Amino acid sequence: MSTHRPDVGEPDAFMLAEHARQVRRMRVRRRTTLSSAALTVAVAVAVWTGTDLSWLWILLSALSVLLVLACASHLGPQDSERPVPDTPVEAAVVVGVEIISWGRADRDGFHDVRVIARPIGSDTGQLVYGHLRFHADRGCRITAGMLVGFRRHPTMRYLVHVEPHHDPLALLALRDAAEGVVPDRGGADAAVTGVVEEATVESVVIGDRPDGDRWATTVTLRAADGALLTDSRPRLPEELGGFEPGRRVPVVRGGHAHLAGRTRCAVLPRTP
Amino acid sequence: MDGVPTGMVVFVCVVMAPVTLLMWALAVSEWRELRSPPKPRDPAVHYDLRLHSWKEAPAALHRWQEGGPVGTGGSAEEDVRVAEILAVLDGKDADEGAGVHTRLRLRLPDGEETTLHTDVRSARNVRAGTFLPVKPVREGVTHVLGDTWATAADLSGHAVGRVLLRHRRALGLIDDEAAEAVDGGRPEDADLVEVRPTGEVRAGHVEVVITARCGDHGPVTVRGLLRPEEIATARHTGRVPVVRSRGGRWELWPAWF
Repeated sequence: MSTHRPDVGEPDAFMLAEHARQVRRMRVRRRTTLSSAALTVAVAVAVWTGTDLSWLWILLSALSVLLVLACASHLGPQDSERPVPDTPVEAAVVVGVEIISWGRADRDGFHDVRVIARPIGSDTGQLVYGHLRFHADRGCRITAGMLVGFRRHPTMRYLVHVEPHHDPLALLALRDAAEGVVPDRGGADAAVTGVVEEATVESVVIGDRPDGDRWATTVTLRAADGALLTDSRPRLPEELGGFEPGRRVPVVRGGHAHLAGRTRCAVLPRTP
Repeated sequence: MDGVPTGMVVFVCVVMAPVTLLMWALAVSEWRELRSPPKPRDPAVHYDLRLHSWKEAPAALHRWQEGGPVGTGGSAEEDVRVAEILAVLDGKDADEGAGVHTRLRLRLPDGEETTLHTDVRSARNVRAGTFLPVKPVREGVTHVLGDTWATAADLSGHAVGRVLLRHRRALGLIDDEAAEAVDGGRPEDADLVEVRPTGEVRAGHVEVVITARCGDHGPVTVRGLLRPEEIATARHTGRVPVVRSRGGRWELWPAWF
């Protein structure tokens, strides 16, 4: 297993432009606060030598003004939104969740969360990440093992635009396409005609040989009508958290018998 | 002006002076940071932080959060229950830099759900799906926010570890020999070679067999149950914490909370 981390790459034009904007803001702010601070000190000295006010009160006033100026020097983050790229949507498995505005919810009560994901079929070092939001009253519902759709920024190696809304059937179709699986659901487009039903997980069996970080995983489920269903595909161990025996999950059935007495199906991915 | 005692004015000045200096130092360091060019983020840095908190032995809860009445004379371990955090809500800065106000929705071992208010200084151990030792608010005491359970803030780090191990054993997440090895033990870093799932999934944890190389000891194989993000942490840092039992068997260091 390689511990080598690929290079993060160079900042692109958007990052450089934002940085330049921040530097300009900083220079203006710095000039203003430093000259105001110098003026404050000069006024304090003048008042002290020119009048007979107590030096203690002059000191207190000067310190108050300097403290306010120091707080005003702080720029704070500047978040201009990147334009949404027009690259095609791809599917990825969430493998990390990082809340980045904890303690600083915005005016509407939303927090920002960084979602780290593995695109379907990617190698270990090929992580992507993007930002989503959640409301402070509901908490963050995103967990590892979910599927998200994303669009790559052509100029950035890891940063992607994570789609804010997800349709599990569409993500399933994207996943099948990335894995080279021909969906066997009566020949029709599952995203349009897939009938979703609930089934209960019975067992998970892992194949003998890995395919990169993935292992051939066969999930056996029991449908409401008693039929045994199986979903076989390569999965990361990070995706298996939702397959506890007894758990009810939504599935879409396949078209013909896979093993004797069992019907092929696809477990619908969980999405944010 | 004359009505205010001089002593008080001196006191205020003495307090304000270092604060003012600190705020200016922060402003200057922010200006300095902008001098270097921006760097794209490496998402795997998140896992370095996760690995760091994974390797820490369980610490007393008051080290990283506050909230709830602290019992007198220490609470008995028998009163302590381990709840699962279902959701971490709010997340607003507390005053005086004491931490972040959160409201935790918990599920107790008997299935009952409850809400607990706490100020969290370090959010790393507080996430949906993690465990939290709690104890009932004392009889006759009414919590100002209506909580009926409080964090077991007065347990020592070792007692927190014992309580969490007992909970993990009850859920089938750790066997007796592994629990003995980790109780009071110290983990070593091993270099990850392979992660193979076994197919067992329990309480949101996935059972994996991890092959690793541990320094002078050569290849080791450990089997244990990890949450999906913990598996990702091992994979993207290339390291996994392991510990040796008295019998010489290598065990996986649990993520405790």
